[in-house]
Amino acid sequence: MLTRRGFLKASLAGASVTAASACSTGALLGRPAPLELVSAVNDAEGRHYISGVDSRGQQRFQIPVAERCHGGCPQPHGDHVVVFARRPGREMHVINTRTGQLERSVHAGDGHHYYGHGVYSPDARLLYVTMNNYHTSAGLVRVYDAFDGYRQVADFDLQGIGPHELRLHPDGDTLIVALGGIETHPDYDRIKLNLDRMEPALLLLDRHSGAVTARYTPSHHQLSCRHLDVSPDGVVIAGYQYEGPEWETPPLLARLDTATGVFSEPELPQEELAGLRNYTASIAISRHAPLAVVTAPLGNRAIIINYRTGELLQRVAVQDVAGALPFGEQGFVVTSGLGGVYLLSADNDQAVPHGSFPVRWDNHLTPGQFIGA
Amino acid sequence: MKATTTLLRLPVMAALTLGLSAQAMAETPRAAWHAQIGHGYEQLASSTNTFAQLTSEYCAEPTDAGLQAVREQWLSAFNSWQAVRFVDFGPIEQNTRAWKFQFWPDPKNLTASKARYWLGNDKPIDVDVLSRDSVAIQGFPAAEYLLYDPQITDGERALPAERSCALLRAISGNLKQNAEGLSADWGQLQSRYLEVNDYNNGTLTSAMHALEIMADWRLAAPLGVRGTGRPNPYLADAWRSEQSLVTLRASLQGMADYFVPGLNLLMAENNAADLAEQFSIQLNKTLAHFDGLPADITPLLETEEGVASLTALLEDVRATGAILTGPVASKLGIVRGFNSSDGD
Repeated sequence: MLTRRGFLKASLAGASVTAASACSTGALLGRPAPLELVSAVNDAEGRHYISGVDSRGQQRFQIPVAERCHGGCPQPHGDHVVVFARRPGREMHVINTRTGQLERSVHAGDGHHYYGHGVYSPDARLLYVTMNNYHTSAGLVRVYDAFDGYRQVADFDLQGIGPHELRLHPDGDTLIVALGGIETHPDYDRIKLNLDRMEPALLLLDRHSGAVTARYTPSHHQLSCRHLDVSPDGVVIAGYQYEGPEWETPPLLARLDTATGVFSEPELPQEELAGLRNYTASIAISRHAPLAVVTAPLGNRAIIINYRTGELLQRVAVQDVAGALPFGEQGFVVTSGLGGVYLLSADNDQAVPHGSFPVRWDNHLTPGQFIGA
Repeated sequence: MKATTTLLRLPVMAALTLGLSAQAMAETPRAAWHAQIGHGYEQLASSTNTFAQLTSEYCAEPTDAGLQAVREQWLSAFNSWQAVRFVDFGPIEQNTRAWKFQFWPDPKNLTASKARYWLGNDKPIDVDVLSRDSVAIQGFPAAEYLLYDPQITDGERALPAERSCALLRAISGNLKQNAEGLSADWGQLQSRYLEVNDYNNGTLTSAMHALEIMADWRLAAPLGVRGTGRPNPYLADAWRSEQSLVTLRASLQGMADYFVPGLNLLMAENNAADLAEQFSIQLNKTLAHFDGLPADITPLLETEEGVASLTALLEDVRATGAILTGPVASKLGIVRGFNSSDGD
């Protein structure tokens, strides 16, 4: 069973590799190192792959795919990691992390495309995926049965446009969905069709009935709510992308305490906010400390905040930084489109190199194994 | 040739600036860019204004000469847009403005279906209503459809038919309004643009991006050397009016007029005036191709010689971009990120 402890061990093994080179216990015993992370990557020629790297920093697989991919999610206690194609996002790819093979690709179906994110139910059976019905622009969460060949079992209408990242609340019953509010069409993938009448939101959804149980609205209608993570104690941090003028500096983070239902937008110092260039990529929350990292590739920086207080703790310069995951007790691992992998911590204003690969790491990292909330 | 003299004069200007005192350097790269791009936006506002005016006059009193004048002014205004199309930051980025000028590429021919929808019903058409509809019906290609597409010009909806005239008046009026707004907002950006150093990189990367779009999408795609591998004239900018090379030339000329002056100053500040000169020489060479070419891409796709001349043009457009993405970017330490240039 892959538990939080399991991942922690894996993470620590990863950390020790940096210090002690290849002499890890696993290598001596001939055991394969645990898979640490999975990500969409591009090569220098612009070809698309899904890549897996183990805790020794070795690339375990690189699977060619037709479309550029975006985010993914690991199956709790299982062998699958699912990675989603994006723009137009017609397929999701189920990878067997044990074999490093592509097990199956599931098509979004006529009139639908994926937005690039999903999450499994705690029993590993159901997979919840954000989708667009592009004939009606209706945003939905589609439910697949992973135990039955990823058969489609339900569609939950979100009464909104452009759902993006979603996570499972630690209660195991509630889905937290970032609703970007932006209408797109796969035939015209670069164009945002409704910037003047966006209705972004942060939604809570009953994963059994599909009912929207709460809806929180950003302070400006052009603050597209895209990515999020949730802490073991139920605090959600969501990242915005501002579609208004680049010279304005609206808040870029939302915080929802699901215990109290208090929704707020933590304020950052003006100069820090301006440095993020109105665009956040990934959000990752530590499982062990009250820390969240936010990556901002346009600003070439990542920030670490205390998610309980919203206070800014650290700013770290990393070129083209985007992918992020919690790492070890206090830290984070982030990736750059230029190929670098780095470790960040709240007490260090420098990124610590953790390997470099001849790939362009795409927007998001997926844990190679399930991390319990 | 005005274009050539402008291009040749600029490196000299940069060299002079290099040798002058700090006082003369008050003309900063961003001050030059802001002024030149602002000039381009004013041109766009003025030419769309004339287009709207000629359309109204023609529809009030239709004559063949009037229609010809409207067509010519459409092309002139479209070319003013091409000249500033390389700018992909600032107010043009707001509220899908760029798409409202030119919805392109349009693989599903949404422009035609939107126009047919408007022509086929009795709903009142005005600028306000149009500006709230799809971007596909708002811009130059929608006007081009009414002015040039045989589906319209050969049938009973040909101008000056009432609905067609009403639609063209709304499209041209909307273009004029958007161009005026763009020009005014660019003025508002001035102090910030001059203040924020990041705009040096932003302006340069927008030029790099524009040259890539010219090469990959505006030339290589219709030529069939990317994508399906089959030539497809409908992928070009202005296939309906058969002016796709004229509009491409206008975009390159726009870079010579509005981008090169600031580049010269910036490179001179960085002791690399030679790189700016190299860029101007290559851009000039690329522009010279057009002297021997027709207005449109389509006839060239039909002969081997035609394909060869388009391929040579493509190579020169690529070489122009490569000076920016290669030596200029490396001199200035510009890194174009993978995630920062295309996120989600």
